[in-house]
Amino acid sequence: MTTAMTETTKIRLADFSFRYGKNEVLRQISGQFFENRLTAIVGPSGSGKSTLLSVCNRLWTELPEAKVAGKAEIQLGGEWRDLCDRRAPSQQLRRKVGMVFQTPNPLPMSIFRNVAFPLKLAGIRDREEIAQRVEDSLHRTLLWDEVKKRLDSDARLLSGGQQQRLCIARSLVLEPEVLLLDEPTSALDRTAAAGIEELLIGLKKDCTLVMVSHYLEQVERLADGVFEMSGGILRRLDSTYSR
Amino acid sequence: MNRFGELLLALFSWCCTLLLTATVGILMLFLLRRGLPAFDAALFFGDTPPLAALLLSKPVFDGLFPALFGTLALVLLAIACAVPVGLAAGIYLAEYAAPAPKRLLNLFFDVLAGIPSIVIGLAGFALAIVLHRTFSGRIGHCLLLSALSLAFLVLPYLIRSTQNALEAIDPVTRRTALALGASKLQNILYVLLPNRLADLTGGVILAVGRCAEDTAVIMLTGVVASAGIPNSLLRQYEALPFYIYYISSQYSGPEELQRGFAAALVLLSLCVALFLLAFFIQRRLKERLLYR
Repeated sequence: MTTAMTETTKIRLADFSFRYGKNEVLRQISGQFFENRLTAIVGPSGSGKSTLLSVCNRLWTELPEAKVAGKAEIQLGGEWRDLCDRRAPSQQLRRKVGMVFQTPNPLPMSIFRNVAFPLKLAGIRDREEIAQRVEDSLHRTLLWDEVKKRLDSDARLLSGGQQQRLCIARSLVLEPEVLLLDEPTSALDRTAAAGIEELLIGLKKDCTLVMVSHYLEQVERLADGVFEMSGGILRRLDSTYSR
Repeated sequence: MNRFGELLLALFSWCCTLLLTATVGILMLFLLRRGLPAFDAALFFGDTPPLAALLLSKPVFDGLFPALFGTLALVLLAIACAVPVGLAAGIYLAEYAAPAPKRLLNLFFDVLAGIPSIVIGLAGFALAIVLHRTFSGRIGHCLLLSALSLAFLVLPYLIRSTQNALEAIDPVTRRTALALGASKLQNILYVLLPNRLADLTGGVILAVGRCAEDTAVIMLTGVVASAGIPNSLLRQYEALPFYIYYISSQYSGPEELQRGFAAALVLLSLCVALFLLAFFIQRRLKERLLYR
């Protein structure tokens, strides 16, 4: 490793490259994301920011033509896991590394079932436990009061901001150690975006957050560390934005 | 395209739609006009008391009931055989197949879809002869063989409709459950298939229609003009499409022809009823899968 190790390192990359078909998306990048911090990744479209997020929860393994080289690891439950191993089981890892996409993507289910869905996937069957965890998760995302009387309604009928908070609640219900956010406010209006920002600040105490964003003002407001991705190269910008 | 071109295209599209709708409307009116006067209990049950016929306690010799029963049994059996295999193969092609075998299988199923039904009927006929010789006359032309041949006929449609439905899912929806820790199978069962339920039902409806109307396959594999209600899957049977074909080619008077039109109306009604059943099942499944 060329980067300095600290006890709060959650994700570390060393000379990591990502290739999709003939296209080299990430080129020998190195860096660390720290525990209970919000690290932002900025940069132009198509520079590889979202690809980097898909490496952090091994979602890249779903792409048959993707190939990786170098080192990428994540620390979960005090144990380092290899993110480059295509054959390693990824389900447990993904339950601890939540992901929120750019466009709110509630599944065509009720609000309750959307948030309870990851628990069902994890094999949790106790109805009381599920109900309690769904409620807790909706409280954490400041959505409970808005939806508690219509938990059986179609989640797709919520407003854009509410849908995105629902998606965050759905990720949080599994109590992840890391939450990956791919431009979580880009499809929302200013008020809804402010609500998400407030939520993210509150989540830092429980989670490590890695966020891709195009909005520099937002990054200034939220981020503890900043990287710039350009042409597949990752560069630290902490000197500009560090707190 | 200039404004005149756009107007011309819109007018042409409108005319085509009108022509198609009018043709279907005229056909329906013609069928109703010719077939409706023959509609009575005797059309279905002949001289047999309807209740006795429905309870299968007395055979029906000169009514449509055995053909209606045979068609319903044939379609349900063929669909029951084809749907699980078609869905599984479609899922395999869309979600699991590597690019090279996928290209090869796509070509194979496209060719299979283009095979005329009479050829599949001939294959069924040859199989019936082999079975007849092997099992010394106990198995031959029968309801089961017709249903299997029809299932084979509609399999390519089911496979392609399932594959296309799954491949049309946007990448974000495809990755949502995976990102939440779903296995590939969980993703398919809980997210991808429920998402495309309407398209999958559409494929099944097409298959139902094809099974109900096809005459070439059943003519060579088990249908006869008069067999009554089959008491086993290994017996010959009657079917509405064959009855319509038989009457229209050999009718002896206007009354008999009128019964042929009535049989066509019955076949249409049966198809509509099966379509409605498919929609009902889709709706119930959707509610069950998608809502608490």
